Amino acid sequence: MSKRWMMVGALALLCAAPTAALAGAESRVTLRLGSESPTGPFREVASSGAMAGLSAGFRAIPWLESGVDLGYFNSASVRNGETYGIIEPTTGNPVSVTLTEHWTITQFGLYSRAFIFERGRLGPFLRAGAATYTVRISQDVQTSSATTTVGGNEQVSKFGLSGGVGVRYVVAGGTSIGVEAVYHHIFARDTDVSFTAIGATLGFGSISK
Amino acid sequence: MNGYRVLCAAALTAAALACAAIVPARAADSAADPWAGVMKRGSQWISTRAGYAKVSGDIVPNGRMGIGFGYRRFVLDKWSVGGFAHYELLGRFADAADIEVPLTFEVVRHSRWGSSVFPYVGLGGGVYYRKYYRTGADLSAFSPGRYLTFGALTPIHRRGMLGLDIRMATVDKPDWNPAFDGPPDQRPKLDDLLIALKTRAGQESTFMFNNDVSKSQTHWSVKLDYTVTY
Repeated sequence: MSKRWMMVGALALLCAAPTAALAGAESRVTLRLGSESPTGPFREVASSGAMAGLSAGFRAIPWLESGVDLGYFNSASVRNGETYGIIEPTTGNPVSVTLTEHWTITQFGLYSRAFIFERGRLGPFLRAGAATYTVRISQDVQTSSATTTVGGNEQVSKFGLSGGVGVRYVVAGGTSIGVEAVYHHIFARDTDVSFTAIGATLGFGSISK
Repeated sequence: MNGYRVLCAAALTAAALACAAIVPARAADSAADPWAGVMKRGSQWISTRAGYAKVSGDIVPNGRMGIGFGYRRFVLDKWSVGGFAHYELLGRFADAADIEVPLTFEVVRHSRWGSSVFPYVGLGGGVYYRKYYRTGADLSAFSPGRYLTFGALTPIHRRGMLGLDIRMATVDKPDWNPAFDGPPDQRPKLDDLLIALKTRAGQESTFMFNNDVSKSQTHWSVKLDYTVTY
């Protein structure tokens, strides 16, 4: 436990004392593509999936980038492709259905990236954010033995937090590539939803002196 | 046409005439444009708003009115961040009222067309307090919401601007209520599904049937906006 706190303290110190000689007022748009892996209780109802994101931010403070973040996460439900026997409520008859079921999560919020040990073209960073998340499950019938009304969607919007690490490498001018891993935690009613998103980033930026 | 609509039409007409009667701000002098620095980093705007607010949908009451207050600060040239609080009466069926209080944060890109039009567009989000009042089954709840905002302002006096703000927000739709329509209350909700699908028994017994009703709704507001810059 004490080692963990020492690591947290060391990271906090790194954030508090970053390199100073960096470009000021840099605006940057970053695209993200990658995969999403459910964690905790959410892993029991969803499998791994895909992730896409877009963020736009600026560095008013040389080592801190802040801005708006949009994210989209998609994964198959644990029931996707499985066959179940149900009683169709409109007819009372037993029906065998094979489901298509997916979870999608959309995120809209704010983020900050603290660049630590930024040297030359390479910029490692810590990242944190707060956002509104809409968690949605959509259900449809792939095949069925008889007519059925199974299907629909449910969704709920909740607040959540995210945190992670990454690194970016400036390729040329304002263009950069990189990777980042972010953990998202959504505060749902009974069972919190959490997942990790890992992806490649492509950034475009400009510096106003 | 009922008396309320006549009253609204008269009020809007009076407001439009008042706007038209206001002497336009003096055309910007190229040598000393008093509005040149209004979108510079560090500028601050305080806004008050009043106007129309409505919920979109098939079975919803007619829109009513809303007021708002907010603060913006330019963190970069032409880019502002701000916070707004609104109070909106989204509609009424007889005595039943649908009330909303959005407490939001937004990021906005501003620009300038010619000498006297300051359009803007931005994104925002925050907490939406929703209240059904005098319905027989009243509701009050907080939920997150997101919105797109756009509008334009024009100078009307030194440091003062008048314009129109339009906001389109997406918010979760409350369940069915004796006064207001919504998805049926007796259905497996997402929080229930998160629990049920963890077990094999839950997976085999929890299904959605014809559950295609939208679970979110769009809220519109169109408001006159008076902004003081400094």
